[in-house]
Amino acid sequence: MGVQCNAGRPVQRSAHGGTQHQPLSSKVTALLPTTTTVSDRRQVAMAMVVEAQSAGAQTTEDVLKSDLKGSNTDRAPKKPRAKRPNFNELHAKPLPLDVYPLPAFIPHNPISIVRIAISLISHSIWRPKSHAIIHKAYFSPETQSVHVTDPESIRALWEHGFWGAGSLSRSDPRWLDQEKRRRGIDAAATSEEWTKGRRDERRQMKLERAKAQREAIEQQLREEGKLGAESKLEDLVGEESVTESPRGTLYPADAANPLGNVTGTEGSVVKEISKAIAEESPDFDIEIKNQEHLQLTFEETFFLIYVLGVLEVYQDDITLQPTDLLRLFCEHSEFTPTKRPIQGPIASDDPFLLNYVVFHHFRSLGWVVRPGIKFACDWLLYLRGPAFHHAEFAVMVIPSYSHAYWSETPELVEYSKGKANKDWWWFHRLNRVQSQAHKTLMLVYVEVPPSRHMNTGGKDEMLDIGAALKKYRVREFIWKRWSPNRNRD
Amino acid sequence: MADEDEDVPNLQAPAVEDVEDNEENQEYLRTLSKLAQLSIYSGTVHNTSSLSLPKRGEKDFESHSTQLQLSTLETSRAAMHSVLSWQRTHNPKAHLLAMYHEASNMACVEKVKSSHFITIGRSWGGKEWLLPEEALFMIERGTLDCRWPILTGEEGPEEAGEAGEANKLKDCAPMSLQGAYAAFLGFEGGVGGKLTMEMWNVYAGLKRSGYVVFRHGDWDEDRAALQPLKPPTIDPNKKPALLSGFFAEIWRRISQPTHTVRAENLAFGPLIKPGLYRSYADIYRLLHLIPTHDRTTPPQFSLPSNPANPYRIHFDVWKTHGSQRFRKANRPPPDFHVCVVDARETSIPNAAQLNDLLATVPDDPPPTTSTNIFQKLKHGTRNVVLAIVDNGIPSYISLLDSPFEGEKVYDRGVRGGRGKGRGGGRGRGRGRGRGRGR
Amino acid sequence: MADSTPATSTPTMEPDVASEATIPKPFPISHIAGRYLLFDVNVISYARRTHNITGVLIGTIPNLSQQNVFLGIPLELQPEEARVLVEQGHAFIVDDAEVHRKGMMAMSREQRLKLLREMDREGMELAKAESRKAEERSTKALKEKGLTRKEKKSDESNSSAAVEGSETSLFDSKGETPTAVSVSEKKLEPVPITPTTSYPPLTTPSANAASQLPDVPKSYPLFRYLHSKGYFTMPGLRFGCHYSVYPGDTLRFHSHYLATGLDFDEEFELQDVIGGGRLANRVKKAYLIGGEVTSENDKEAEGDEIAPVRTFSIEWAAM
Repeated sequence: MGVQCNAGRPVQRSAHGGTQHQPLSSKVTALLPTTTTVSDRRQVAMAMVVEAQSAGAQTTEDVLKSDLKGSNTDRAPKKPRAKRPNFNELHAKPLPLDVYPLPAFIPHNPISIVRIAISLISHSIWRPKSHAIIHKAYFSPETQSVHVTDPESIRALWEHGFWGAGSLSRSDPRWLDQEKRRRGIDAAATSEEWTKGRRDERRQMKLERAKAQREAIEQQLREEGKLGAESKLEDLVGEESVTESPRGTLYPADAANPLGNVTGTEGSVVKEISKAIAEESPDFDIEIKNQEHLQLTFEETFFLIYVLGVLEVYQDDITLQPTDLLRLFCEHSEFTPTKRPIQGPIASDDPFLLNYVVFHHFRSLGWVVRPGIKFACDWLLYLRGPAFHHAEFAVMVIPSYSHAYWSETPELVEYSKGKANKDWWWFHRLNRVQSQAHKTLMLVYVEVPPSRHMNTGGKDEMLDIGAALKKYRVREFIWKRWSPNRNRD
Repeated sequence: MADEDEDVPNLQAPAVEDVEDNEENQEYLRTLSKLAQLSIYSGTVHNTSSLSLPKRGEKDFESHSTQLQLSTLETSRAAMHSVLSWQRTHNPKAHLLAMYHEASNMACVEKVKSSHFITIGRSWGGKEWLLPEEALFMIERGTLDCRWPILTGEEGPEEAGEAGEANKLKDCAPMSLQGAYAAFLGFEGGVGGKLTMEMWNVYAGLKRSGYVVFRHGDWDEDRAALQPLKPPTIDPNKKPALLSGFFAEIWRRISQPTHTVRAENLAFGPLIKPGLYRSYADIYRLLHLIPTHDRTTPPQFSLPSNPANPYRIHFDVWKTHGSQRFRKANRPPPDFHVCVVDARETSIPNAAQLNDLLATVPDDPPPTTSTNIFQKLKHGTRNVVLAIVDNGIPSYISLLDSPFEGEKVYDRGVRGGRGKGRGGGRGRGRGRGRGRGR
Repeated sequence: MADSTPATSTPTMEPDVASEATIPKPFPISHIAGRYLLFDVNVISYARRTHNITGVLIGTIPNLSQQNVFLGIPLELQPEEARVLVEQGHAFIVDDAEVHRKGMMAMSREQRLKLLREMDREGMELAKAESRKAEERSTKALKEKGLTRKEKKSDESNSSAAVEGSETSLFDSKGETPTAVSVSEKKLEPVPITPTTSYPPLTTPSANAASQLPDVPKSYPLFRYLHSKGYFTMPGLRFGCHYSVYPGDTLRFHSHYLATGLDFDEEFELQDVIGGGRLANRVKKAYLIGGEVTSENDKEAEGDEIAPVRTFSIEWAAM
């Protein structure tokens, strides 16, 4: 393909077609001594790639890209769409812990026994760690959540069990990647547009200046009588009484002094433009700071600490112990934090505790449990995780006050009635939202133990978390719409 | 992310309910427009042949040019008015008569002729007795002519004497539809009956849909009887492999360090101490902490028997049967059990009410051949249909008791595949070769 | 019986207007088993047209008895609808069970015989009309087949004798050629009728000034407010709201709002509002909540004063 240069000068095409022995980068430079506009370079580069590929060489895209990196404007404007990551590999670990299975035992293959023996021995000598990393997080009362900022921890927690949600993403914390991509696209697009705009501007200006010059020269020549009123400069050139140098400078046939330059510039057009661009182009190559953190809910945090032991939570540089954490979460579980002092008794029907009990129950069975606020429910259950399939079950936590304690006094009766009297309109709202989203609604009734069971003996005695949790009881009920038309036969 | 599409409503298929509501709306207006044409033609409808849909090109319907002057709304209104004006008449040749019986708030039918009585009524004393909802249904659909009894003292000379009311039924005052409602529903409370307007709505609705509906048991009892657990079926295909089981056990002991959670960890965390774990399943097993409702022992009632408890089984429902095969006196197990509640008077059931309600329906676990985890969970072990009525409009919800701890998701074996019957609650996994195969 | 449409009459194009005059004002609402029902088709149409009260039809329509889409009389009114009609003086409540107990169960012999005579008369009219129609149908069918009456006996009952070449109808032959009527003509029996309403023979009780007001739920202020603005409402349980609100007759329009009434100071969960908003959005409606404004200064509305109602609609926004 022909490549045009701004100045109207054709680019010299490389004479040789062979590509085997010359490094491509030098070839490129050889081809493009003077052109620096993006489109031109790209066009040539494309031609190069085509040639290279036809000659059997590896794709040169990367080579070219790296070579052309000198000018930022040369980065390809649109990267090909990122390949869908292999979720099976990425999310192979269901928990942020490591396990070391022994090699499979194949009865008819004696080597497998050897392998197993080796494994056993090495594991007993160098005990492998299940808890490779203890992640760190920070309690954030303003957002009623716990924040993780270390990028490795963020990836680990998300990938190994789908814990938390990116604060600037839907769920998978991908803000940085997306931002980079977005800016990459924008950068290239912007710079290309910008350059094109400037080039057009310049050309326009140049044309006008050339025109003005030409007219000035014509005027002058007319005054000198060398040019008739009707005729134009070109005629003189044609008659060879005026010559035009390759650069557009006009020389009268009989003098060495130039009349003027009709291209509108004094020197190389191209150099001037690239100088201008270099002066004015904004710098697109800034390092982007990750503004996103991973937000864990209280229940997820508590599970990671109390159950798995893979997380530490800080508040004002102090690590919080599970018991203190429990109190803290209970305090902050309402929409407006209660003013209850941290040393006071914990209510057994505290929303945090009820939600946690249900969360723990399903996580311990192997479900991936995520917050369900988007669907107006408490939790969503996924079989493997949001990366694989949409949630099948929507869970609502229903406190249940069946224990005799709750009917001991009229006040308690009234209290428990007030807490547990959802009406059928509430139910139908919920049910319809879930069925619109093709999920099955499940109400999990949680039996609330008497509050005194949550209290400890004395102020100094630490709360036995396990014992407290064991006082609850859950029961799952699934509610589905039944249609008389569809069940008739 | 698979679930990102959920935020974009256009990408999702519409919900079944929304589609059905839409269809219902359209069908309503379609039916109305057809009926509009029919109404004008026939005023009475006891002759079914007059109700055939108009064939194309029949002049009768097109000649009423005045109809075209009305707007669509007026046409609809007029059509509705016409249809609502249809009168209930009886074929003199197939005239079914009944007498209202005040003391029991029932209707007594003398001569049983029609096939309706296969799925309705109770024989007693040589006659067919209809419960209030049954009588009302028959009257409303136009197949029963019920009469008010004559007040003692108001018989004429021609009626007094013999107790042969059968022949004199025709001399009794006919019961209008309004009268039927006033009697069978209005008097019900006075005789200690339990039929409410909402139960009537549901009964009629299910009958119209083609189901066979009977009261569950005797409504004199406050609640139905406890239904025991179904004995676990032993799958003949699952023979315990003794030898391989033995090796599996040895293997397990060698390869896996036994893990337990110490008391202090249970109290203050973490449950999973750093150590050597062979599989994630091992870890998950240690996480079991929250007690669940015990479904392996026979169910017990949580609450004392109380007639004020709205949650009890009211109706047994069977799918449409070939009417010849259904035996009233010896009914097969129902397909559904229905409990009717008034949306305005009751709130959602609490755990005790749910327990008691589900304890009275048969234990019906998913068949052992079922392997899909979702299918099993959505089948549940016991289920009941709740009919929640809001001012004449019923909403049906299927309520299931579904034990999730029977399905250990972490034990499903091959990641990403459907477990082949493993983790099915009662069996033990087979132990061998549990590596991360793909 | 006021509600029957005689088969011989020409179809009435505007039945409501014609029979509106017969509606007692105020009209009675049947109170049966704690619910509010209407049985008179004219009242039903009138309430709809004039007071934008739709109610819910809950009855089986004869000969359309195997479906649930189209239902007929009686009309079940929401207590809110009944109350608003009573409050505005358009209707009053009747204990229909009691009226029937006194009227029908304890009917005198005289009244009973009168009723039976009336029923017979009507039944006879119907029988004649039926037979006439059958005649018309069969002659028409025969005409299409090109046969004369002589050769074909009508397959409907009550056919007249075969008179050569001419169409006969029951009326014609009765008076003129009684002998020509064949012996095969059966005696017409009155068609048994189950009337829809009981009035007559019962008489409508007079409006009781101190008629009880129906008990209504706490969403009543919202209902009354919407009703006063001309909206039509239907029960909205299946949509997760108290009322499904239509800008006009439900026969014509789709509902715009899914409305739930609350006490002004009642606490509700945000989670619940999200659900309502999302749900309504999916069916292209708006979720509406509202209630009676109770200010701290005046706790009770004075006399007939109706406290103002404020409504809020919630829609799902995409960002």
